Amino acid sequence: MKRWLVTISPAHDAADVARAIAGTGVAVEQVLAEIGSVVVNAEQAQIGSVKAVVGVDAVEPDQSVDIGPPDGKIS
Amino acid sequence: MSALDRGDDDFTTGRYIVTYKDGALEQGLAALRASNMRVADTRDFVDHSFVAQDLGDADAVLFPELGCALIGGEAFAERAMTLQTQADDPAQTIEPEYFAFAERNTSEYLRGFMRAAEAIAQDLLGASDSELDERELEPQVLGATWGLTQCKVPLSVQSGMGISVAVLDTGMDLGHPDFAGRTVVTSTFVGEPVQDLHSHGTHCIGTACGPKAPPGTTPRYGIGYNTKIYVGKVLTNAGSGTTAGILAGINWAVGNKCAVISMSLGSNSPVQAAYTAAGRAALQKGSLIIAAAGNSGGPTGAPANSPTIMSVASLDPNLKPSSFSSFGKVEIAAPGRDVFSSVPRPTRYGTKSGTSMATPHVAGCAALWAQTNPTLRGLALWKKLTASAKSLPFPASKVGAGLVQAP
Repeated sequence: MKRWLVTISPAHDAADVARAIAGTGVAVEQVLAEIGSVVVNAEQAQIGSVKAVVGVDAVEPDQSVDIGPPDGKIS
Repeated sequence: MSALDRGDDDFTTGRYIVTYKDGALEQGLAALRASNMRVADTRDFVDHSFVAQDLGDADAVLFPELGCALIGGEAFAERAMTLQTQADDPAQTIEPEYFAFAERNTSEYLRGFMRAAEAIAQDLLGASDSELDERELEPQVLGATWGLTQCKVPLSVQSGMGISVAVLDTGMDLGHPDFAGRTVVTSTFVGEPVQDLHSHGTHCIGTACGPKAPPGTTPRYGIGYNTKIYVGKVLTNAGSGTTAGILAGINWAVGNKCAVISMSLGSNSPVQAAYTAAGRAALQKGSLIIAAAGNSGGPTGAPANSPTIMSVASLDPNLKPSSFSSFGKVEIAAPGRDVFSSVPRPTRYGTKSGTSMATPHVAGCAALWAQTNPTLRGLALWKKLTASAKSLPFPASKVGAGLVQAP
């Protein structure tokens, strides 16, 4: 189980598509309506179904970012 | 002239100037002669005027009109003279003579002046008590950091009034005295309070939005001093975050109509569709996302590598691309080496380097541009920034359109 970022087509309403995604059995964590993104928690095996939902443009795994420690030389 | 050939930072000529107390000039002249110096007295020259050759092999030149004498370095040393004066000396002060230069280039002149001032201070006060190095002295003499000066910020009449700037980072020291009275809106997306316990966020906010006149002798280090500051904590106090948290921060900033969104963060990841979509939506809604190109020295990372997000490279004080600055998809460049700005209390100020420091220079300048014209939003603001950038003799892959400039 991990976090995925679902990119919604600008021609669709993010909240509507999020409901359809939830209908596939996947847990919807956040709907970011201003920027057309939905954050879900799902197993790899479920991702195919999510991609098939109308209005879904892309599904990507969440990634981490690190700027280093406070006393880092370059940040 | 051999002194000039030393090629070091010592601006002394090797000669000494003795300034006499009122009425003590003749006594001073007598003292010089008593020590067997050959003294040239300008009263002996027509119109008190002479050229160097006229002095022959004089050890000293007396300037009665000025009440002082110029003593040659060898003559000074041979008589074991020092800079100290006794109470009954005819001399008020004895100082090394310094070169004065005429410089075409104002900043070179000021740098030279500053080195001379430091040299004089060390001579008079005693050496190496001073911890000041040139970089710290420079902003104090010039009144603003090198970065603000190069971006032409001090010359701008804009303040960012009416413009909301979101800085998505490690939060902010909300009690920092330099931000007292500022309008600050906060939100956390990482499960920790917005209060910055890292320092990165406070430093970036300082550059983008810091005060016009920091207290005491602190140089100006901030650009949009009247902006409304939106602090989105998308990085923990340990400096880490996720795309999901960052997207949530962007969503919040766009929803709050922030014309400028500054993101000094990223990874070496290839383009992420989520960032590209966020950038597109932001532009359409009048928000410009500005992100750091990265410090890997390799290709621009995400989110800056999204075509809908403005990527910022870092410049050194000599306006060359910083060695660490990523390249490839770069839209613009800004000062990113040895950038002085605010950090959390008690330290209050610190110097950092990185494309993280270059990014808020662009964000701050973007806020000033946005203030000049309400149509300068989103893509129009992006284009204005690149069109008005100062061209640099480096490829676009390194510096984009060049050095960002304030209106």
